[in-house]
Amino acid sequence: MMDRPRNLSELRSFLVEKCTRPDQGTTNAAVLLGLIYVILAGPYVDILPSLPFSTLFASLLGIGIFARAVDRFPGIFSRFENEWGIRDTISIGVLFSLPTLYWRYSNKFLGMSSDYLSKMATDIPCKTGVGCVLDAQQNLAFYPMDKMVLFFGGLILLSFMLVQNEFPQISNLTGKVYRALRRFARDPRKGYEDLIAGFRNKEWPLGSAFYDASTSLFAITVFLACYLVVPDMDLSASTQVPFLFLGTGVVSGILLLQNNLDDLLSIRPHNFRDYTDGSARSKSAAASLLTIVLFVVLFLNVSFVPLISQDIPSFLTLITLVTLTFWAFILSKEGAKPKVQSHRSAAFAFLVIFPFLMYLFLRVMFLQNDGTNPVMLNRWEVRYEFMDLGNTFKINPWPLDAEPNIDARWIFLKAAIINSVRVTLVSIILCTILGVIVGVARLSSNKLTAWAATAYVEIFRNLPLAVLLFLLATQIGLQFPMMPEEKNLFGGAIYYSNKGIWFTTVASYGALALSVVGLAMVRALLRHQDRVEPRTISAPQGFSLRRPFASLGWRFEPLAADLFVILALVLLLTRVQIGEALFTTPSGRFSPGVISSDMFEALFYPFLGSLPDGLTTIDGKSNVQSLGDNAQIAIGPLLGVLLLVYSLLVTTNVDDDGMNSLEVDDTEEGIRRRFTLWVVVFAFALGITLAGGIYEVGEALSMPEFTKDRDNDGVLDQPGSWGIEEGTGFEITPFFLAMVLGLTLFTASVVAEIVRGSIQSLPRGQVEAAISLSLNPYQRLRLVILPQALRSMIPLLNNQFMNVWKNSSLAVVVAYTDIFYVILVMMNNVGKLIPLFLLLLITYQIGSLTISAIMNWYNSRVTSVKI
Amino acid sequence: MTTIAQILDWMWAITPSTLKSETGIRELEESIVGKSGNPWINHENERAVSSFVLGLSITMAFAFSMESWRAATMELNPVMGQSTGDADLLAILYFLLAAFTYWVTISSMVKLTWLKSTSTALLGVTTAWIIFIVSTFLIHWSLIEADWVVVWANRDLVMMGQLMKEQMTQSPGSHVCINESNCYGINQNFRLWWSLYLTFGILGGAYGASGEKPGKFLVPFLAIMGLVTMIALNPTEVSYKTDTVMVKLGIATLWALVGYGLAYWYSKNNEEYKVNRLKSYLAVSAVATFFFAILIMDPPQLVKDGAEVLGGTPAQSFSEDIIAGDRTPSTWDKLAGNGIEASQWGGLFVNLIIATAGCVLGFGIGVVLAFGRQSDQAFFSIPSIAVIELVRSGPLICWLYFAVFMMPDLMDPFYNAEDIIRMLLMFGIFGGCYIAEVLRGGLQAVDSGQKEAAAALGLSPLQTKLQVELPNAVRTTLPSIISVFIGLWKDTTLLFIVNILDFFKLAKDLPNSDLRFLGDFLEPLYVTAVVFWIFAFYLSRVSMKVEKNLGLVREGGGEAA
Repeated sequence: MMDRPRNLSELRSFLVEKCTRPDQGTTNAAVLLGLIYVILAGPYVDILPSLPFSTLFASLLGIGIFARAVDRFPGIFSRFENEWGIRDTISIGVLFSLPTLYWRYSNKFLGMSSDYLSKMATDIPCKTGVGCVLDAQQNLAFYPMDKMVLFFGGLILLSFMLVQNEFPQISNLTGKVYRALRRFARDPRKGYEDLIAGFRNKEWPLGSAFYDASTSLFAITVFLACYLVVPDMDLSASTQVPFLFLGTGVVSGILLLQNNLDDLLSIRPHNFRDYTDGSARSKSAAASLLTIVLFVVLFLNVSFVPLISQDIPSFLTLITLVTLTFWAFILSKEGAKPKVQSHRSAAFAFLVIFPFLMYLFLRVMFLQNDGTNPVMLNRWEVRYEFMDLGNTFKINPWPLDAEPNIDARWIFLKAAIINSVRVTLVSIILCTILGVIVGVARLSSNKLTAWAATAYVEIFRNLPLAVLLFLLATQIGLQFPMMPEEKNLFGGAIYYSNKGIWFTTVASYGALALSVVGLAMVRALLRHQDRVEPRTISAPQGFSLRRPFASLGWRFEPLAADLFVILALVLLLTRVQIGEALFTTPSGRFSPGVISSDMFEALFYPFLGSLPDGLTTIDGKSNVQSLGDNAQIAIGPLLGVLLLVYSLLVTTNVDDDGMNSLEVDDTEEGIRRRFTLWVVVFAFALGITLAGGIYEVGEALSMPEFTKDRDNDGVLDQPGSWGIEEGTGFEITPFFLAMVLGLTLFTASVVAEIVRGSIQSLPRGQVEAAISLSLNPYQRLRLVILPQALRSMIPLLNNQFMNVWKNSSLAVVVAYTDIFYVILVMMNNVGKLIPLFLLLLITYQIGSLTISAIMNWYNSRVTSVKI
Repeated sequence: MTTIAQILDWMWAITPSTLKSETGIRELEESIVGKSGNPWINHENERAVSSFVLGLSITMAFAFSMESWRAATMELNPVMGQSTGDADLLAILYFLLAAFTYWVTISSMVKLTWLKSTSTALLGVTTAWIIFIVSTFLIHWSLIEADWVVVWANRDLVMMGQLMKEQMTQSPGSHVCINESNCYGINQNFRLWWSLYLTFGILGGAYGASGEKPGKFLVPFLAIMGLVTMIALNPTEVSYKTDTVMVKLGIATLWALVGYGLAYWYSKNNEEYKVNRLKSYLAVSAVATFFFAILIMDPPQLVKDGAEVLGGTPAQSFSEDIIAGDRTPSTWDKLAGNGIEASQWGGLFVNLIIATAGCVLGFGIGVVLAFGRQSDQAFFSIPSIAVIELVRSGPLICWLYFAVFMMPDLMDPFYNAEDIIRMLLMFGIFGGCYIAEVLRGGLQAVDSGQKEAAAALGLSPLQTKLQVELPNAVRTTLPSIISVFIGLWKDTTLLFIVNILDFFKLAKDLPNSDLRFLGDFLEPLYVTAVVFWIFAFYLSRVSMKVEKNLGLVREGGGEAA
């Protein structure tokens, strides 16, 4: 220090030592300077010239850069080495400007918050009865005080508890209180004595638990007291309410920073002397106590202090600023224990963001309630009555035939969800298949195939999905024949145009289901035949919900489980059960009165039940169906789903416990026998499928019926208006096709990379062992590589499947009516932005969680065997 | 004839060496078609058979390409500006494709390779035919059916959008500026070029600092710049002064070269820690460039005032004089005047600036959220988890809708932001939440010894986080972070849903912009796909390079199938 030039050295030792290194200096001079500046220029002299500050900052920075540059030069300037750096300059500039910035920021947001508070608290009852109903509220933005205390105080309480971070202690306390109560119930007298002793004695378990969580308990108590007292206090809306509400937050921040509430709360007569001895502890306790008392006194008399009451935000900002400066200095010294330090950092952060937090919360609260601005109110008010009214636009008809102007918006949302799920499921299946093929092909020894697969992955992985979808939709629209040209394949079995593709389908889906069930039964019986006695039988004693058929023994228990699954499927597939609920439209049947009675019901009811005929019409008259009737209708499908989930669980448990040991006859004769059997069974199944159609409609298959006369008046319509008779064939719309193609092609490229990575991460010995066992390439892949690669693949695939679900929202690009599209149009129609947005988020979240849950379950199945 | 000879020479020069020797060709054939299973083919006659097959397939391909050429010339429409050159190119490409496909097919049929190596033969033939069908379709469409004028005519529009383009092209001196009504006082394109110069300089510097060999950087870079210049100078439907563009592109190239040269020289002659410091300076200046670009495009009042203090008079105030040619605005005059408002931005510029915002702001937000989520203080961790999970639960377009229609209700009382600025914020938040999740993995993987060492050195918790944990976490997760950036870049195409005039939106609507282009739906879409693909592909290569340079590539196991 000695050999440094005098002038610069002095400046440095003053500014750098004193200002930028608070741990060395006696005081944080720069902050104090800034603070004095703010106090002088800010609150009561209503000017805050920004230019001097920025000029100061800029010139300091300029000096710093210049000095730095000079430092760098060798020769005559070298004696300035490390004298002054940009960092020093920046930190001084920041210290100078921070108080100003905070002043502006806090004043602005607290000001707006206090405005909202005053507006919502102003109570203007109709006193004269002229032009208004007597005693009716005239302030359209009025919020009852008890609700305001509940919400706003709740927010502050929540922040307080989050900062205090005593959740483990609270749960500990709850447990202990519960146990104490049980003791009390068993032996009231002794329990009472224990309780009293516990409160008196800090060492006793319950007492120490109380002591540990005392700060949070104190906060909760204060909140409850406020909730009980404040609504009856008749506060002045313009001064006392903002002062109380915002002041509480500031005081909480201060108390949290002091971090001695638990200390204060343990003051008893016998240890009172400890707090009056002038130690640091006693000073801190006095400061906290003084804060509380001052706040209460000021709050009660705030109207008499015009300096404060005229500008509450400025006063609170000033207090906050002083507190923050003081504590920034203390915190920068890092004198406290790490735990206290981090707790205080959280409190500091709370106090810093407090104005913005308040603003955000009050703004949302205000928008929810402000009757003076009906458009905004309509946007923000979270109520779902409008969903019960008829929807006004058409959407893709299959499978739920929701009719515009007749069916409620809930039904349309349901149809939209079905559409989204449909596209996602199909895409997930297809992209997995394609992805596995391409991923394996990338590792193929055939160079051309490997190259082509790489090219595929690189091309599609780097394409934006929106562009890809739009491109595909446009290409389909241009490439497929126009509607007037009748194009078909296989003699009318498939019709195609740019309006869609129609396939031939079976005439009776019931018969199809029957034959599928038959096939499943045969499969179950074959498994029964091949089953051998397991090495270790782990049968639960007595009746077990996990394995209800355990008493049947190893031979019949798995069979029963298989049949149980089939039975559940039958119940679901037949139209009396969930099939009815999911895929039948209740056209003209909806009852607003029932649906909106409760939020929970309103959300879930429309997805569970469908109503029978003859209920409410659109004018809202006629009979309103009772809740009980709805429950009765919903009970069938609900039971079906529950039964299916349960039976799947039973089957997996049976499998997991090793009850399904199969020994398949792999001799040539055995294979031939099985092959013959399956051919016969399939022939029968086909027969049943087609025969069902003959029995019902008179035709085995339902071919798309081409017609040019759509209105059936015997005269051909105008050219270009041909169509397919409704109810014939199976239609795939070009939107659906484009969606599935786009999602599949895009996701398959990512899945291929996952597959390749997982396969490549397998140890080489596995493949070599498989080769030495003389397995052919297909067997190697099927029996050795994929089962092992699956373990590392599934978590990554889970992510991708969730992406498919979220990316299905891009259906809006190709005008496919998925959730996002439907909600978007509803937003435009009704203007209920926030409720619909919440619905949208909830729907997507539920979908993601479902996919995640299924994949996690599958993952646990795959990784249950440790290798 | 000489040209054909030259082309053949050139093709011979770029041919891979495997194709030049007989064994190479045979190995290639075996790997694609499989081993011969024909009992009549042995070592003696195999060469003859191969030659025969090759000759046969070349002849057939020639016939096929001639036929396609004839058909293509019939289809060509000279009115649309298509020349027979297109048909020639088509014929050449068809010939190459067909020769290869026929060769694969005929080889496997003649040599009966599917008897010996079934899967290889099947795969080879199937792949060859798939490639053949897809490629011929695309080639035929792009050379014969497509009318690319729609893209050529609007190349400046899709770069910047209508309003921005007008401010940059309809300035005094341009041929569009005829009278005052369709003439702007000052030419605003200096704002864009300044940002571009900086970007190019940093890009070159980054390559230099990472020690890329001169040949590996200069050749592709100059080739790309040449291509860009050719696109800019293409005489079709030019609405701007090409000579200025050429000069400015030249300056930008020069910046990149100088940046590369300096950084390369520095990194070769200095120790590693100094090079690393240079790299960190480059990263900081890249971030600064982003803010500079936003500030210079739409300068706030403070910047304008500053320029006025330094001697400028707002150029808009004497725009009549400028248009009349009486006065030329100085740099300070231009800076003191109004910039291009964010609402007027459009085209590829918007995509770039929003994707960059997603990266820059997103990284900042991501770091905060990742540390918040790691914190043991409930006040930091619970809100961080809530924000991350909330934002990740919805698809991006939900949030874009939120930003357009619901965010203003919350923000307007204190900041009346324009749509594009809100998009910048939303992309920042959205990207931030994804980056936070990536970083969390990296933070969890930081060796606890590092943290203990930092504590032993007396670093404060904040210093430990920012100077020890974060660099460690970023190092291991950089490839994943870059792939988040790639996702953000691709997601900027979603802006069209909320009616921001980005590249995709403009390209999509090009057919409606002029009666001449009615029905040309596909051409702009393919161009959009290619443009976005190029950037994303480039970034993915960068990611792979970074992964390799940092030594993060996991040594994989064996091959499988």
